[in-house]
Amino acid sequence: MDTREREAELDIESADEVLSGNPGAFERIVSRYTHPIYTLSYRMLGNRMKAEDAVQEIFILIFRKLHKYDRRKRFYTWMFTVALNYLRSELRRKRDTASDASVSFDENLINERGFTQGENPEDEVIRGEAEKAVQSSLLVLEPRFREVFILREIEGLSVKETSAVLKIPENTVKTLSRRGKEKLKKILLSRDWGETL
Amino acid sequence: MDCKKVRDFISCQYNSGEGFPGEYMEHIENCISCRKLIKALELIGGGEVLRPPLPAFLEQKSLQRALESGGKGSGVNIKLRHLAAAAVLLVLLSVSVTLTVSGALSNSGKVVVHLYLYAPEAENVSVVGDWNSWTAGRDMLSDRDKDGRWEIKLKVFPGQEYRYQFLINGDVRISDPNAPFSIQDGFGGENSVLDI
Repeated sequence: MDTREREAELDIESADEVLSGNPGAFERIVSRYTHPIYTLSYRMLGNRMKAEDAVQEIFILIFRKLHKYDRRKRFYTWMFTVALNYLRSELRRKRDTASDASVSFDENLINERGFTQGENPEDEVIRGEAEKAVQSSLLVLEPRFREVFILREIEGLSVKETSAVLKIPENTVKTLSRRGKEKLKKILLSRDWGETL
Repeated sequence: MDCKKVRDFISCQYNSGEGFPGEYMEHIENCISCRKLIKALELIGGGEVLRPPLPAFLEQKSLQRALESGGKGSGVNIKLRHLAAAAVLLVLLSVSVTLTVSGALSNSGKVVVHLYLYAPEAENVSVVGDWNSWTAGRDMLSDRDKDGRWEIKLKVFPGQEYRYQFLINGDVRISDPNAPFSIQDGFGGENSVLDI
């Protein structure tokens, strides 16, 4: 049994424990998935505070909907589906209420990352700027491309798992993944990088 | 060689992770703009480095809110409603018990209030509120058993409403998840309310 299968079994065990009256077992689920859910939320919403709020709301939803989880499916694909549905509704709500339809971008996040040991400060600054550019580019990408990119390239889900989360055919995942990367590349190339021409 | 030629090359031929011909390298090594662009292209080809740092205490906050959410419909939530009710009762009992103890403190006229917070990864926790003029570090909670449950017993005058927050590691302010009431603090957060 590989690590992922073992983790999937542990997820089901934790869910069963919660449903059988031990809510403390939910701590294992929260501990395992806070970072992936935060990453998904931040990359979708582009704002640290909103992402933090979203993570808490998503875990409340997961907790409340746990009895609906179908054990024939991987727990984390179900969880990502719940999370994405919430994030989509947040983005829709934001579009409906904000005068500016675009999502915001919290530039301070990158500055919170400390220097990595062994990397020189210039490389770190370049990486920070590059991350900012990727994040802001992600936010102008159409949501269907953005979702596939985040799930495949950041969360590390397989084509099959991404297909299960988004409820779309595997071939569509492959197409959206390839085209999304092409679009991101174009967006990045069209940015003003302060170059000398 | 200039940035435009590098960009044209990337647009037509470059795939992330591949190198550049020698004539481009001299410019790239000395051009921060091109290095930023190339790093960004590497990032969209990779992934792991795009995971942002996790905010402090997000796990604990998420867990606490989920467990306290109560809710409707599921067996879990029915049980949790009972647990939540029990938690509130526990707080009330704690206050009432300490109220009895406070009889011995009648000279001062104060009652004892027992506050606690589950924060297993905190290094220190204090409480700031109306009774201590919101002064950080004056009322420190203790975790004697090292089980993540921080506690303090405070003496306050009864018949008043006190607003307060916990301060974790001298930096992060949160409202009391065990408090029966809370109110917006006007800064985007919440104050817990102790009405005794």
